[in-house]
Amino acid sequence: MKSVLSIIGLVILGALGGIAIFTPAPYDPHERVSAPFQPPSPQHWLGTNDIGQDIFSEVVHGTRTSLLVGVVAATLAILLGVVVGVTAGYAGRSVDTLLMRVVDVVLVVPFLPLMILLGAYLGPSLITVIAVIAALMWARPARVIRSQVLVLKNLAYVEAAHAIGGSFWHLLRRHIIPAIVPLAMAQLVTVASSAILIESSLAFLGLGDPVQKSWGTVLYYAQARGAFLTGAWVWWVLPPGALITLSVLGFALVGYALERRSNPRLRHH
Amino acid sequence: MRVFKIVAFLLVLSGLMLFTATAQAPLVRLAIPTTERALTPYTYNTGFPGWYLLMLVYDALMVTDLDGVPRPWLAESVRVSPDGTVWTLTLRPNIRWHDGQPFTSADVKFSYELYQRVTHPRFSGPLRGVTVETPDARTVVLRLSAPSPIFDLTLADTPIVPKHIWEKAPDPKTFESPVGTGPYKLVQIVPDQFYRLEANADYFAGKPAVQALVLPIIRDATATFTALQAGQIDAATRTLTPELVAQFQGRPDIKVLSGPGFVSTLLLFNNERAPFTDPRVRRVIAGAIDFNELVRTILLGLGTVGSPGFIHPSSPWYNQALQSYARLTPEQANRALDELGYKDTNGDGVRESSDGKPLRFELLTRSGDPVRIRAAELIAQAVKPLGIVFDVRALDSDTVAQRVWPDFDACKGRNYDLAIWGWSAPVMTQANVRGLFHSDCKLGTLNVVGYANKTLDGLLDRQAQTANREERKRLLDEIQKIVADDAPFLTLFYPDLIFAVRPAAYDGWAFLKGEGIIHKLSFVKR
Repeated sequence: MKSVLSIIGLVILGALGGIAIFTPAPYDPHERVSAPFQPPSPQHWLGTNDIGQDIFSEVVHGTRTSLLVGVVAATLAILLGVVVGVTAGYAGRSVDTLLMRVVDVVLVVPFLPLMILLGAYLGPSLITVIAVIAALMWARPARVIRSQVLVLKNLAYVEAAHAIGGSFWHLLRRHIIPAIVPLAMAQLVTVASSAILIESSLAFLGLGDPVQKSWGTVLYYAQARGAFLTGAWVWWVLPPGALITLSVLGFALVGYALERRSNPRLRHH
Repeated sequence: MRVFKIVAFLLVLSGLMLFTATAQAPLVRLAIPTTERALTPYTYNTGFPGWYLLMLVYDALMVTDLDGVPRPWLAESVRVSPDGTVWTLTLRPNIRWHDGQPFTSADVKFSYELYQRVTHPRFSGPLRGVTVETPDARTVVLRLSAPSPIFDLTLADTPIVPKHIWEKAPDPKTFESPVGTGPYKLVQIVPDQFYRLEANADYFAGKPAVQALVLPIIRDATATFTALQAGQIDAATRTLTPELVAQFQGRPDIKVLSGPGFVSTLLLFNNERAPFTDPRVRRVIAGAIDFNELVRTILLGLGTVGSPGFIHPSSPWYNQALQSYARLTPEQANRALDELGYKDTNGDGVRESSDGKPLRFELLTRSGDPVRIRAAELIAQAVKPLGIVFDVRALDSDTVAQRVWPDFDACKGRNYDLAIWGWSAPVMTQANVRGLFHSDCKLGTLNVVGYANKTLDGLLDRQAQTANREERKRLLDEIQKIVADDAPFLTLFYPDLIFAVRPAAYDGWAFLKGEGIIHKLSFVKR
């Protein structure tokens, strides 16, 4: 059962990844190809938006943006989280205390208001969005990885390696990194799905870059140009909404499977 | 059961007869988007709809008719001296405040001097240098330091407050008093929920057309129009966006009212930054933009194409003889840019100026406004074939304002290449061309492009002191022609004002040209 779910997750992510890489869009999403506000037709499967761009092509190209933000922001967040987690866990004492207090602060920061503030202050661009998401999402992985490092440090074989004079870099390479990679992967997947959701939310609120094609900006224009009042939501809101849901589901299923295998607490239950 | 039905029928019938007899709508629910606090001259929040709602409770000495021309109102006659500096007004007799006290010239003097003493962002400026004399209780003499062609608009804009109440106000800026002379009495405010206004049965200028006017606050546009469709409200101050018009027109229970709007949408060039210092470059860009297509695509045709002289074609000040910008084919535009010395020397598809700088600029627009973002995108597409790149940057509206018009002060300079911008209706109503175009930033308070033309400055000063209407029109014609030639900014379009109402609840709406249906004359029997 569990493996079936993770296979479904992989299939979803693989399909979305394929769309993002090959972008099988019939039109250039930035080009005005028809009259505005057209309902679906054989030429335009999801109709056209408020200035006559093909919505289907917009959604296909949006997949690329959304996955890019998800993967890049999550990778950055995890890298930072690993560095902080390993440093805190290995060094211990005052370094640990200091870093963990910083983590506490980042963890309790009210997320969306801060995102709105930073988005407004730094100006909307994809790089800003990625940077802000990464800057706020590293804390939880850092904490999880630190606890794993604490456990590792006290394992007999690691202590032995240390006792016979193994350097920090040696221990890191031979014992610590291999043990935390699966954990980091699971965290990466979780963070990626949150990042996609956050990017879409920001874009929907008009705080992303409205010129960039993403699922969130498609939703932003749909909302701003009355799709909920005219019935256009069926082809203008549902498809990007469904893709957001699908991608989060895909990441969640894969992450769930990875976490089962890597998180020591969950492994035996 | 049968008896019940007959009784019910009779009740309804008598209700209908009562309704037609008085012809006063019992209740109109008009949704507004934000709070207007205590709805006094110093506490209302928004220019639209706030000021218009304020003027349901208060009156001014004049009122603009449906063509936007000021007519006597609290005053019964207005006389102007030949040099245009002395305005003598005779007040209508027997007007009373909502609390029953008589309205006199002392109230006018007190109100005008209040706005001079306690700064108000809207009412204080136009009254600068005006002295008020009251020879008797029904006569007001206003002396201006210089003649003004638009002082009658000031008289129609400035609400009169009761002296006997406001002279006791500790701080006018926070004072809350609902007493005016207007057609409606403010009877209830539930903060952040609704306002309730009731007809002033003793109104001097006709019978209020509605018995009770309830103003619920609905912040979200979608929620507002859903409520209208569901019959929970009867009208909204929020205008309908073009894409919703077809759907609302198709409903038998809803009526769509529309007309020209005086709010403008502009493309600003920073006239102090090369290459936009050169009017020839600005004209080439104007020639590359299909203004009709902007209106067709973004507004679905529900708007007016911008006049190159800024003044709306429906305004009495519009210069009929004005030509639109010469359209250029891509070949013509490219040749013109070649001749001006902008060539693509490195073959990257983007032209460079003679000092090697690529013609790549930032086009600012505010992120909350999809119509403006779309306008920016379409313009960027239009200039791309000319080898000019406009990078559209959507920033939040405060940031855009701060870079275009720092602290709302044109003297503080500007920091942008290009921007999508707009001015509200009063700039058009007053034909405030001196504000828009004068090179002295103290006079050109709205000259956010840094435009300077000495010949034009002289004309701008002259029209600002010409009380004679025909003479001013002649000067404004000339000004519009010069502006059209110089193209300091491009007026892209003026979106139509479109409102949706439920005629079953009330159908006495009157469209005030350029400003819409939310104003005093829509709520008073004429």
